[in-house]
Amino acid sequence: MSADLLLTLTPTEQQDLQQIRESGQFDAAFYLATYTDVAGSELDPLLHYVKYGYREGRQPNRNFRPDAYLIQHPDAGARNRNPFLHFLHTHAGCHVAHQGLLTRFHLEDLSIGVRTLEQLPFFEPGAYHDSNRDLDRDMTDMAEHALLYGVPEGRRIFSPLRVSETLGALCAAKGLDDADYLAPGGPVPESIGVYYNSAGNVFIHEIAADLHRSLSDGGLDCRLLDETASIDDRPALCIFVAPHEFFHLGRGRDWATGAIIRDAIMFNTEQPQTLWFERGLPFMLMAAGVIDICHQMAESFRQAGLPAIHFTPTIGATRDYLEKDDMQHPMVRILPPACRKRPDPATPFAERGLDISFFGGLSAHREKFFARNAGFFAQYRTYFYYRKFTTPIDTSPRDRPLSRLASHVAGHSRIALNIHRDDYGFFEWHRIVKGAMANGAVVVSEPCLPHPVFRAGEHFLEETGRHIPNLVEWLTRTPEGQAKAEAIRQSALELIGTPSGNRACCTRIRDFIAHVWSTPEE
Amino acid sequence: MSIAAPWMATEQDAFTFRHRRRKPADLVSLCVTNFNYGRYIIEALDSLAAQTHPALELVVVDDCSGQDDSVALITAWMEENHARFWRCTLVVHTRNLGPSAARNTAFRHAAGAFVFVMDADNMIYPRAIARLHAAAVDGGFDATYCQLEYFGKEQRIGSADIWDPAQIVRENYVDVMALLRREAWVAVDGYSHIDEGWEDYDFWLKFIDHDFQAAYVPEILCRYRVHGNSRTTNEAWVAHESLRAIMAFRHPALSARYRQPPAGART
Repeated sequence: MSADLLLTLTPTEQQDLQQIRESGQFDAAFYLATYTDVAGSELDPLLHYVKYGYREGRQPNRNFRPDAYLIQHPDAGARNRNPFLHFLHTHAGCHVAHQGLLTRFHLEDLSIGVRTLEQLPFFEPGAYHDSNRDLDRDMTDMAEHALLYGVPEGRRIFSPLRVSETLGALCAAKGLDDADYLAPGGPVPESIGVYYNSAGNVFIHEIAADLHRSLSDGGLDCRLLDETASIDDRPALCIFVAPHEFFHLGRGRDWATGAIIRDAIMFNTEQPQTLWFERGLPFMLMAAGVIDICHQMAESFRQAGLPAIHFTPTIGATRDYLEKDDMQHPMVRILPPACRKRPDPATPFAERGLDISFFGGLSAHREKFFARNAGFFAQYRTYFYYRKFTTPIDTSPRDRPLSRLASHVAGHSRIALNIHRDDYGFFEWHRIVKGAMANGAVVVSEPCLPHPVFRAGEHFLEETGRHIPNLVEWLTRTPEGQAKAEAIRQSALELIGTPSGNRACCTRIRDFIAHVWSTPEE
Repeated sequence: MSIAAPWMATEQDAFTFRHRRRKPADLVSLCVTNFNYGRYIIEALDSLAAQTHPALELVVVDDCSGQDDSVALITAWMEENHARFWRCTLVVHTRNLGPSAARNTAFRHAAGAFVFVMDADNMIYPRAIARLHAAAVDGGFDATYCQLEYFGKEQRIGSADIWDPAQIVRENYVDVMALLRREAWVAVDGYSHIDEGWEDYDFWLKFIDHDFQAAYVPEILCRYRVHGNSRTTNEAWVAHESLRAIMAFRHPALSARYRQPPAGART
């Protein structure tokens, strides 16, 4: 029967059929499941679509909605032509046919973004539908919806269970390797801009400055810039630190266009279970490459087909000490006088003026930890800035010194505690390395995602929150523990201060940039 | 109500134990107010006796507890433990006057340059007074407070954070359990009685009105007992709104200065 029908196709229809078939974009299963009348007719679904379906406004797949497409491209339906063919002709290689809420991106960028999201191991279409039950399961491409509408509308994209499972699998995987994404000695852009948002978190500014220094040390021509810089005169390569805040604050929004994003590298600092990460997601999915502060996260981007590398910022020779004005801040003045002096990372464990310090914001997980152990810690000289204000740390006189104060206090502490915000044991570089290790404190942390450079038991100590009191008591009260504490402290300081290690780190990030820079655009 | 009003001196000194030695310069007066907390007050007093700060005075005010044998318990405890303190005083109100008046009575009997105020159902860890006192003296503050551990019906951490007048005007996050310079208490004319509560909040607002400086000591050293909550959420909310109005009336300049909401929430 279908052979007979084929004979009755006009030459134009035959041509259409051929082109659609070659594009591979006709979803026969979708067509039959959606249009049950066609399924009952025993007609070949593609034939039906070419001859009748498009005239009846039917969709060839989940992504192409003729009515929406015709609004944006009124010519596409002229002379009774099938608008789907217009789309195939004008947007070769794309499968996303409309921009949704991301109107400043091309369909090429969006198509790549959706494909990348589909492959990102944290994403599961069924889980997205579970938390967004207003969507029609059969008619919606979940990845497309998540990118074009989900993120801009503030919907949750990933399920916590899937995130946990994926992180668990990434931690268990052996030998995560980014060698494929390095081009040793390859050509690099003549100028690079490292961008942070001046209205954002102070820690992000610090990370951007550290990245800038590492790139400069790697021999690259690099500038540290913020969202107020000129878009037109931007450097050859832009690296955006913390896209989850950069593109959402003030003039950072002006930078969120396809033309800028597709040639840029994103430096992700966020944890995958957070809404922040999801807010930064579109920019990472459509970028030329991703640098991630977390080893496991970089691998997840590589699995999605994105060039990605893990980068640990290096610690420079200079420390962010308290400034003169900071000394009048009440949180400094309440310190014992001996602990207001400039700290020296070399001060031995036994000679430090505070026992235990902690800096971190309010969370249910931390609340439980501190409530459970308050009586234990009350015996020790502590400095727990467990922040109860829910506003972010900003540049107000009240908050301005806090980041420097965290380092200062760690410099006088025997032990710096790392209690995670939630149940995901993200290795928090700032709290662990920059704040604590670099200032000579022993880091005692809840278990972390494994880090390729800093190892538990060697450069810091891990224990479950429930048993951290035992560990603290052992470290502070027994000769054996004190010896171990001194050894941990020393090995961490040594690792951070080793110039060859830092040089290797700088070279790696240079070679990654060379790889991204030399990869032709698809 | 004023701390100078002669009709407010309705208390009876039950008794005073006093050492012969001279008043120490770093004397801290611990002021405990009690109203029918006989089942908790011994724990509270024990936690005071266990303080590492040596120079302590204890003033307990019983606000006419009629439902238990608080006064007998406190008397017995003081007879046994008075040697720990430079001076030990029990004052008994002949009429129930409420928490503000009870605290004012205690402070009137206190001799230290610094006073620490505590309700009889709470407790403090041994380092609390030494740490709060050192921070106040070293840093030159009129008051210091630490983080609280909530215990009893709920286990959690209190709401203390950096002293910030703008933030306190929006909502109170500093508990009454704090170390105060006694002169500051005199200067603000003590705690005021507010029938609906929030006299502790009002006290901090008066403190700000007078430009006194407080500081947060970021250690968890005081314990706050949480009892079962008798108010429904709805009742609490209605009370909250009328209390906000009372505070705005009492501190109009502060209220106006800081009424603007915080700058738009950022990441």
